[in-house]
Amino acid sequence: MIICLEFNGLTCCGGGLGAEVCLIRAKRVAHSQHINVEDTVLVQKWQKGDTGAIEKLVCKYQGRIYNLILKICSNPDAAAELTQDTFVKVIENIGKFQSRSGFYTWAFRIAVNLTLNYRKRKATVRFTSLDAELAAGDEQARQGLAAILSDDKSPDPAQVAENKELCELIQKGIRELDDEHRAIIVLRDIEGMDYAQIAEVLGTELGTVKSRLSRARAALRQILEAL
Amino acid sequence: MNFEQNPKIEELLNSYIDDELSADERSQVQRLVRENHTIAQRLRQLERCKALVSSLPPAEPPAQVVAGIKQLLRSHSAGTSESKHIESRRGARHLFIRHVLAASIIIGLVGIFGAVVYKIVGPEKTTMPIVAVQPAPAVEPAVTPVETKKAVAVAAAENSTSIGLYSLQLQTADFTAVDAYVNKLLEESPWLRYEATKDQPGKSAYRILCSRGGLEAMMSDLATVWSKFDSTTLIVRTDDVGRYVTVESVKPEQIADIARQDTIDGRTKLAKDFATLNSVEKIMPDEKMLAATERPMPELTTIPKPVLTSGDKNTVTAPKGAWDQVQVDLNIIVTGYK
Repeated sequence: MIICLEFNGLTCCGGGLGAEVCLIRAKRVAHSQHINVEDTVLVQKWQKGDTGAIEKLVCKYQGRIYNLILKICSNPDAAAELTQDTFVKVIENIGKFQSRSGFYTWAFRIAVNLTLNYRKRKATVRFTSLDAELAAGDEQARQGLAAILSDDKSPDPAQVAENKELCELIQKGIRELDDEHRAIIVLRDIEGMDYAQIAEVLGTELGTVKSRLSRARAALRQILEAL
Repeated sequence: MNFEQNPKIEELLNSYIDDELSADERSQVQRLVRENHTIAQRLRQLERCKALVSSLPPAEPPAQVVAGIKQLLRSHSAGTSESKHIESRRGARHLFIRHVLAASIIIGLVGIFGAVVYKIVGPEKTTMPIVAVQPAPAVEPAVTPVETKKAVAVAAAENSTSIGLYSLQLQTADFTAVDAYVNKLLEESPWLRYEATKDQPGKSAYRILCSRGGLEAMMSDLATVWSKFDSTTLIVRTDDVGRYVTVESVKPEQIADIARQDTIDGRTKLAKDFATLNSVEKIMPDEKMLAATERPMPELTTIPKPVLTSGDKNTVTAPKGAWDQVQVDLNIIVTGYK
C-alpha cells in the first residue's frame, strides 16, 4: 500500500518501509517546528469536513485549556466561559489555521489572549486581599511551604499535590503575580512549554521570554516566602 | 551576590533549570555552581520554586464546560451541514455562470473565427464605392455677394418653385482663366441669376438660380472647359435634412440630368446611380460603362459658346426652356491650388 503524507508543505509518498520513512521525516519536521503530527492530521481532516476530528481535538485539549485559563484568571466561572469562547474562536477560525505552528500552540494563544483581555476588562475588580486570605489559611500549610522553600531538598510533587492547603497557598501566590508574570509561569511550569513555544503563544521574542520568566520566578519566590 | 543586580545570571540559571541552554552553556553554569556557593543556593531555590508550581494538580473542567463545548460542536456540525447545502447551491449557481460564460466565449470565438475565415476566403474587398449619404460638407455658400451684375435678387427667386442641388465643387490648376470664363459665361447668360463671392484668393463662389433649360445651357458651356477641372464634385440634397449624396467626377450632362428630375427622390436616386457609375469608371477607365439610368443620356442644348480670348460681346440666344418657372438653385465653387 502506498501512503502519501502531506505535511506542512512536505509531500512524501511510499509503500511499506517507504511510508515509515515518510512518517519519520514528517515527525522530524514537526519536532523541529514544535508541531504535533497527530494534531495536524486531525486539523486537516476537520478542514475537509470530518467533524469527528474536531471532537478528538476538543477532548484532547479542553482540560488543558481550561486549566491554563483558570490559572491565569483565577475565576472558575470565568474560566469555564473563556474556555467555551476559546473553542468558539478555534472553530470559527480553523479555516485560517495553517500548519506552520502547532494546533495547540495556536489554540493556547487564543486562550491566553482572551484571558488577558478579560483580565484587562476586569482590572478594576480587586480580588480578596492577601492578608484576609492568609488569616483564613492553614498555618500548617504555611509552615510546610516555608520548609520547602528553605530546605535543600526538592519538594515531592506527589506530596505537594495531595496537600490541598499547600496547593491553595501556591495558587494564591500565583494569583498575586501580575498578569504577564502569571501567564508565563503557567505556560512554562504548569503547561511545560519550551521558550520558543511560549514566545509564539505570547507573541514575543525569545529574549523577552527569558527575562520575563526570570523576573516572574523571582517575584513568585518573594511572594511565597512572604506567605 | 545580589541577583536583582545581575539579571543575566538569574536568566542563565532559569534557562539551566528549564533545559534551554546549549551544552557549552550548561558546562559553564555547572562550573559556576561548583565554584560559587551563593549561585548554587540560588539555583536550588529556583528549582524548588519551579517544582512547587509544577506540582499543582490540574483542575478538572466542570461538566458545564464539557457540555457547553459538546453543544457547540453539535451546532457547528449542523451549521456545517447547512453551510454545505448552501455551498452546494452556490456551487451549482457558480457552475451555471461558468457555463454561460464559457458558451459566450465560445460564441465570440466562433464569430471571430468566422470573420477571419470570411476575410481570407471571402470576396476581395471591392473598391466599388458605397454611395455615401453624407452629412453636410463644409461648403461655404455664397452668402456675401460682392459682385452682382444683374438686378435680380436671388432671394426673391427663392420664393418660386425651386430645385435645390446644393453645390458643385470644381477644382482647377488654371484658376484664373477658368474663373474668368465662368464669370463671363454667367454675365452673358441673361436667363441666369447669380451672386458671386470672391473673398478669398483662388476661390470663387457663385450662387446660381436658373431654369433647368438654363442649367443645361450652362452645363453645355462648362463642358468645353470641363477637362480643365481636376476634380468635379456635385453634392445633392436628399429628403433627410442635413443629408447629402456626393457624386464624384460628375459630368455636365449628369448635372443637367439630375436637375431634370421632378422629385427629390428621383434626384437622390439618380445622383446615387451616377456616383456609382462614376466610381466604377474611375476604377476601370478603359471600360465603356452604361449609364445607371435606363433611358439615354440627355441631349444637351447647344448654344453659341463664349470665347475665352475675346472681349467682344456675343449676341446669345436663350436656350429652350430658359425662362421656365421651375428654378434650379446651385452653388458653384471654383477653387484653384494654393
